[in-house]
Amino acid sequence: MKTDQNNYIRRLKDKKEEALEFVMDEYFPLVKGIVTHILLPLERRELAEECISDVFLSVWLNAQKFRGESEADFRKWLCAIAKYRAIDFYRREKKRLEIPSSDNESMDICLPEESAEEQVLFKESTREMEKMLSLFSPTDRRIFIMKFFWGMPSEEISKKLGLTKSAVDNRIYRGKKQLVKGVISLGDGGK
Amino acid sequence: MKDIYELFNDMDMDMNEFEEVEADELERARVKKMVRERIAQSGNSGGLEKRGKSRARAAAVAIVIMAAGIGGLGLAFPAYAKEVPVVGDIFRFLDGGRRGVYDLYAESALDIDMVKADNGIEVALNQGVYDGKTLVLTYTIKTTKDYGENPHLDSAIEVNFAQGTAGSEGLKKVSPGVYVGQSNYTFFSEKENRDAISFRWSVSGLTDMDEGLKEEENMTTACRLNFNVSLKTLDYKVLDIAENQSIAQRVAVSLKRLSATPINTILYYAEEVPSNLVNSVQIAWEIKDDLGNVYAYNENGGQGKINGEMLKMEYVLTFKRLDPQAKTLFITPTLKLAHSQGGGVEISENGKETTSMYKELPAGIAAGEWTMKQVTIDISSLK
Repeated sequence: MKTDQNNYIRRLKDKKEEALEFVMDEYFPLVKGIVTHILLPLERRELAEECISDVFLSVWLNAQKFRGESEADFRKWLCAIAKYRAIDFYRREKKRLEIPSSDNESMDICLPEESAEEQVLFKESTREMEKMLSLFSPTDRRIFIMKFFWGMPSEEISKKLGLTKSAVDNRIYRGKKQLVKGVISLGDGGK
Repeated sequence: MKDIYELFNDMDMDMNEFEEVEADELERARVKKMVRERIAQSGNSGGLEKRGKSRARAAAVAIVIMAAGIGGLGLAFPAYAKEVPVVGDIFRFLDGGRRGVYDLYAESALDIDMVKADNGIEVALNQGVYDGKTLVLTYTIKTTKDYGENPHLDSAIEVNFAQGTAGSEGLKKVSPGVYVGQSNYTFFSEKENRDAISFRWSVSGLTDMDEGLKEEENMTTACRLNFNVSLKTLDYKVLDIAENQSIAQRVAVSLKRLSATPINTILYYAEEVPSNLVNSVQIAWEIKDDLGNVYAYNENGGQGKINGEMLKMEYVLTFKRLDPQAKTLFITPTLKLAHSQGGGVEISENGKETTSMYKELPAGIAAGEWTMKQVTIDISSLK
């Protein structure tokens, strides 16, 4: 059987390599668009390529976790991954190069109100964070993913969700507190 | 527990926010090559990087004890061999239909039916069952030459979430050049993988193990057969067992929980053993219910750490589905200290494997049997 428009998602989940090939052909420009946009300030072409490959590798390794049916769902899921991987690359690289904080507000990735320790803590506990996220309320979860996995500034998040910026900041503050103190134990649920 | 890739399913995306950027052929080729290389590095099923990290995190030495081979390869096969192609229900065939641990497996097993051949060895991976802890595979092997009554299949399993794997294998001749087999793999990881499993099963050789053969006759025939498969996990219910610990001869056993699937029941238990007794301890189990059913079980190995003078292990064992009418389960461990036979494989943090042979009992310790406290479990909630 040949991989085509109608079966590539299923075949990707079945670990058919030619389905990945298909996805790479089909979505290369989209992933490149997202990745280069985020990594632009670094001005490094080979890093962008490495990141694009990382996105497709993540898609391959996690294909089973994609739950949607339609192509539109898949496209969204892929974009979410691309954004997440690109921000991750950007943070890592920035840390490595110790580039001083850029003036560009849209790249407000390191929160000014965050201490260095907190940042390290978040970095170290991505795994913990993932566990916690499934216990947060849907809105809080969305906020946290946008903030920490996609590096979006609070302002933008608030527009997206129709909340005020201070409401978003508040929720982040509360969530971080829970996270830092580990108040939510996995046993007693939370929300 | 959902991870971030699952959570991404629920995220709204404004697709207008993204702009496509055209890429030239050269760039595409470079990226694709990178992806392919990294998939190859990660062993296709992925997660090599992940595994490296978890190894580094694991403190001390993880010991994986290989469970003994699948017991009781009976002679009852003609009854089952008639059923379908070669052997209809391989699970029961290999169990000889006697102990009943696998009686229900074929019902819920998922057909894989992948056939691959290399170097005169054809392997059909027939069925698989994953109960959330143990993966059981059945397969049929056809060969151009004969490999005797009980050949050994060199096979390996790769998954991306386990830090340790315990396994066992049984292979039985059906007719000249035709064998059926079953392999059990139990995975140990920090975070249990209960939704679905993706694995790569690779077969690298077949060896005639019959005694009395000259050395050159039981040479392994090498082959390279890889199967990449994903299976859904069986439904399950978990029942935590109330705090209980029983100690005999400084060996402590506590039952942790039961997991019930449509075809079997998994018992998780913990064992603490003084390090000088590690090689002498055996636990035998009596598992019965209030209706008088006695359940045969399979030990599926365990994982643990050396903590000072104690070895702390967590084990799983599997037995048949509980009688739906039963309300109470009684489980009694019996400690046996003995000159044990056999060996195990010790895998250290850096992946180095050392074969350890069991030794005699340490000085001052007498062999014997101690029946430990019976644990009574209300299983009505598992209905």
